[in-house]
Amino acid sequence: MRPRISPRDLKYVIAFALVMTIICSGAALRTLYPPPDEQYFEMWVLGPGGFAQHYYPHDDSNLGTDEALNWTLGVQNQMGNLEYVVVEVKLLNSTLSGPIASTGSPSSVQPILKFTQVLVENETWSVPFEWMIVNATRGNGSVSITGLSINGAQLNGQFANANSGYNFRFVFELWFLDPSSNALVFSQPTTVGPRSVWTQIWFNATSVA
Amino acid sequence: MKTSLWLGLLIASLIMLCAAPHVLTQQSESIDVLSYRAFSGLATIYQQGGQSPELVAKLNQALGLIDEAHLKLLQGNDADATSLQGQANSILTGVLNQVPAAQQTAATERTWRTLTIVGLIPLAVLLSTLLFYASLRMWRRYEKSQLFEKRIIGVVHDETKD
Repeated sequence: MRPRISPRDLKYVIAFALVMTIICSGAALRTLYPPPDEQYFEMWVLGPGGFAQHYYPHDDSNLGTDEALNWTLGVQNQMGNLEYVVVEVKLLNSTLSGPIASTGSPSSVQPILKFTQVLVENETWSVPFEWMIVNATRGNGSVSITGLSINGAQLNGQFANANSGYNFRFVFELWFLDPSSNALVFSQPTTVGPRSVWTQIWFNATSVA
Repeated sequence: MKTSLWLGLLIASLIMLCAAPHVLTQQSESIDVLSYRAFSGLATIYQQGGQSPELVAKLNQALGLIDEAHLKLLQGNDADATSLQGQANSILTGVLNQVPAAQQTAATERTWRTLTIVGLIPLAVLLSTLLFYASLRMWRRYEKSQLFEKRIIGVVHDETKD
């Protein structure tokens, strides 16, 4: 009986089957264990209406008491996994040390507020941040902010003071839970040094009573 | 009588010694640590390729309550803060109780997904090889027909020459 396939064609078919096995196994492996993309967080602060403009009433950064500011904080998780994130809000002046990007160290100032959330992969989280200076005191040429209203909650205390009320800043630091140490960390090591996520917005409290 | 009293005291002290570390651990475990534990459990599910949006939503609800409790503490409202922490604690305990079952489901789903994908490999190889074989046979048939045509043309050419 004559064979249905010649030995030469049989070799071709076997070679094709082998190549297809390699290709299909590679595709399956890639599906089951996808290669990690670049891992990072993003954070931003937007003004009213979700635009990066008009952060201050009448676009004047010299604020007075009871002037409402309507900001929105945004955080996006591009870490490729579920993440536990905390946004720490700190009120500083120009001399208090802020976060240092090169060393990945946070500001040593205690946060006045925290926002915590668990984010799934690629999730964007928006946090309203509506605030106003409720109380400020003047003395010895400096202005101290002693009362703040944030998202409707009134907070009292000695938050920060600045010469003539110039150069206050809100610093927003993004902390996340490190599963290996089971503690919140501010920066993550990368091949190009520590990477931390934070942002700040400056304002003056020169028009306070 | 005196011996039995001493024996009773000894047993009671032993029970207290065994129970004390457990009680202390529970007391010192802050609500933040409880939320970290709940998160770690959920992170394992997502690392396995599973999902549990309802448990993530519950955890976020608890985290919102914890943030609110911190705010109340800053405002000096200890009673409200304690109440909010209590609510958060009960939600977190509920999440922690549901995590093992969700992890089990995620693990099962992952096994099935792996089996399906691995099972698809021989099927894909078989189908593509059959297709290749059929194409090869068609090509060979085409080659053969081209060869016959050439021969006939050759014969015709020879006849006209004569």
